[in-house]
Amino acid sequence: MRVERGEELRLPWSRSDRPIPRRVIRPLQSFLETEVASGAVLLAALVIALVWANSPARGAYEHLWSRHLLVRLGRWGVGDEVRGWIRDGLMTLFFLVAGLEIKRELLTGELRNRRAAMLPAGAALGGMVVAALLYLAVNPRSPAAHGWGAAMPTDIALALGVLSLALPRAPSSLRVFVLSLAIADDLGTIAAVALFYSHRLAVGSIALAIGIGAVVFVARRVDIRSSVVYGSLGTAMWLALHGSGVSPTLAGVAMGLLTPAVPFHRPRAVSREAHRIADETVDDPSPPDADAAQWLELARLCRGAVSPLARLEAVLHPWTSYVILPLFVLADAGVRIVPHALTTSSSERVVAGMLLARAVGKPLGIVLGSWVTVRLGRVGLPSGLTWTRILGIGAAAGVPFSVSLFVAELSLPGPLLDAARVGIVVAAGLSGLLGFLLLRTRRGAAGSS
Amino acid sequence: MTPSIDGAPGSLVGSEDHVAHQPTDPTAPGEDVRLPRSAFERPRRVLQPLQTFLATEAAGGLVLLAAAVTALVWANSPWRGAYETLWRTGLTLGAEGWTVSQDLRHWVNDGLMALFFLVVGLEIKREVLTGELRTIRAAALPVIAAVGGMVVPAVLYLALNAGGNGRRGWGVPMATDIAFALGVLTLAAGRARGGLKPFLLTLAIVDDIGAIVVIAVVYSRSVAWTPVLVAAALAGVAVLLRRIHVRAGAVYLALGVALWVAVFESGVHASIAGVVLGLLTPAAPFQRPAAVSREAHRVADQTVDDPWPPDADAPQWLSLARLSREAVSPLARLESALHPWTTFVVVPLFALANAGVRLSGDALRGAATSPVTLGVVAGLVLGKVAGILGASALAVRARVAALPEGVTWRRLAGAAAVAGIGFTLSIFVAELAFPSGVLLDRARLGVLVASVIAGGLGFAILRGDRPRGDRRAGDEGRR
Repeated sequence: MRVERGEELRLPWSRSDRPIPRRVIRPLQSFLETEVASGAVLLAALVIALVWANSPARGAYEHLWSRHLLVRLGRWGVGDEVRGWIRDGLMTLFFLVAGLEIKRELLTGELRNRRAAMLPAGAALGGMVVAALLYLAVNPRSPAAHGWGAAMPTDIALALGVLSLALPRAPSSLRVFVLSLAIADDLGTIAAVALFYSHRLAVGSIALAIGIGAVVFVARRVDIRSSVVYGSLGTAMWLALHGSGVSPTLAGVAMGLLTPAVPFHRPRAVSREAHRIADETVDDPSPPDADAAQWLELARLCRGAVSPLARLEAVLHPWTSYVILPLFVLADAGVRIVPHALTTSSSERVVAGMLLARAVGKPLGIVLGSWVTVRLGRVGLPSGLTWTRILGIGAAAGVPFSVSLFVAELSLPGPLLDAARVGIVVAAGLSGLLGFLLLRTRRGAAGSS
Repeated sequence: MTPSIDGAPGSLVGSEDHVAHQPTDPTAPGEDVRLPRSAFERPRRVLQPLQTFLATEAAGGLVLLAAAVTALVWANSPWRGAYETLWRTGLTLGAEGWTVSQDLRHWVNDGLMALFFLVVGLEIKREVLTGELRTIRAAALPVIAAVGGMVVPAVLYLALNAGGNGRRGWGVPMATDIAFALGVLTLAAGRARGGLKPFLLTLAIVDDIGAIVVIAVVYSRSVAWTPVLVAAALAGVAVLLRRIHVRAGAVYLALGVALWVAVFESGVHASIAGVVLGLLTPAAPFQRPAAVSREAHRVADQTVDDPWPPDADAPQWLSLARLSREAVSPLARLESALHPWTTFVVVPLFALANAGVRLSGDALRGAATSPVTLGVVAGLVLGKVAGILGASALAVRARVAALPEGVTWRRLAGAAAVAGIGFTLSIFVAELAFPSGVLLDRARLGVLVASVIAGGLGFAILRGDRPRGDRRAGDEGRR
């Protein structure tokens, strides 16, 4: 079809040929589309947090994140420091996306085939159990022992980042393995947070939250589609969980799992409507917005051709990877590394336990878990996956990060928390390097299995 | 079906209906298409923005009436304590050292009503660019009539309150409530309203402009200039971003909230931020419809019905969704998104929060002799009719303008009476003019009484004038 001049689609500013978009924004966007990007952004946030918190400007760091933000209606209010709002509020969106990813993988992804899902699940379980046990072996006594959960989680973004840095052309089976492993790992962490890191449970509030979940379920069944309704119900669930003792971020997971994975409209029907509306609208209507209703209807139909799950993920994913998670790291990873604060024996042991659990426990556990699954479940290794690579992936999965920091916040008191943060930050560097080297040195072995 | 985006009140449609209304499309028998029935059952119609506007306004008037009656009954019932407690409850947002703290009534009046004024700003812009106000010839009569209908009530009010401490309230009888006015017109005149509706609509919009100017200039507290400059700078940034084709809604939302805060801090009434944003909203679509049509054909051809994995086509569909929204001007988009909310939620909430006047015997006796109440009633009922009719007669006599086709002097009088329903905006101005207390109550009482009289008078005039065969058609407006 010939395109008349002036009839082509107009690009937004960010994709135009102006100097700033051309030199800054477009390169930035194409970088952000790569696998490494979200890991790199997290790393940058970490470095900034560490430098800032140990610089002369550290007063400003503490001051900024510990400011009190408040919403108060009459006598009833929700107030917390900025750091708490990020941890309990914004991170809910991160967990919402995690819930969406889990649901998608279970329904249509790698975890759909229960047999194929066994390997990553077994590997994840092994990794979590061994890491937690190693941590507990070094820190057998409370309160330090309570931090075992922080030794467990895998950071999807960073593990994938290490993988793509080490093997830019990794076979997709490898990526899928890492992804499913990380997702299984997320499920484990969520269960741990719900079961072990919830204190002084307010049963009434939790029942209320479950009731709201039931309302969401019913609303879905009667085909209510308004995003305002679900947004309000999700907020209500968050408020119910806030102060119930359970982490309110679980509201995000629940809403993610409740989001429908089937589109409202058949794509074929929408295609027909699209043809019709494209034919019936004119280029120069008078009055100028005479066709507005039709175009808006088409926009609504097109959105209806995509499942709410995919839509929500497309909207939220950039925000969670590039804004919320980095913000969380920026607010939480700024540990003051003061040697004398770490010399108490309990702090030393927390650091040591964290390092041991991550750098040794994770790879060991993942290899062990995979091996047991292969032997007992009689599943073969997918093509492209070798035992050395599993070891490398295990090491990369040992990079603890945002989620570990999150659990550490929930589980450890002040000085130990600082020690755990130091352990997490050091272990991240160590495991990342280890994973990178293991995956890299065996690069020549690609394809041999 | 009014154009409403996801989440607007009108779109909350349960789909038990979908099963019952399986579309019968001859090209694909028995196919489960799961389209909302509006796409099939309602024949395609080119929704003129004006028609949409009018259709929702009639319904909006009824909802507003219900809210006002509820407020009155509630405030005079045994539960009146709860009424005051509710609207006096404080809502605080903020961080240490910087908070916005107001009671719920003021959050409605200063915060939510900014959305109402945003829609008013959009309507003004559309009228000026593509509506009646575009040509001097068509605009002359309603503009002149509106000016007459603002000046005469204000003068009448001032004459009754000369030297008294109610002087400040002269802006109260100037306003017209679009929702109520059009609602009464629709109910009374049915299809016979002809050229009367655009006339009344334009008149009401000019009235709105007048009220906005009065709110901004006369009823602002002592103005702090730094926030005003910040607000102006923010507006400048918005214009600049528009010029370089930045389209992200989040950017403009953030700018809008910042602008509201700046105006709020400046002492100029915060609703003005809404008007400014409305006027800044672009009236031309980002994309040529032809280009979007081509894309629509392409996407419709390239997508499949059963993709695997299920969301394989999602990026294509989402991009087409974005493009087809961009084929509509931001002005029309914003209006169709906000209009249901302002008509059915914001304005009724305003009425619920502000129309609850105590009607005790003492209060009524006091009001009956109060120049404030009398001035408001006289201004809205007599002043509006005299001003609009007088100014129109002068304009027609001077051959500056002609009566629209099908509009007689009698019907014009009906429209003028209907324009005396000041309700929402009059109460809004009264809240600004008088500190809460006896004068405010008297002014509000005056507005309520005047609105009822003006509405009844207008209804009677218009109903009596209608041709016989048209009686039944008038009931259509009740739906």
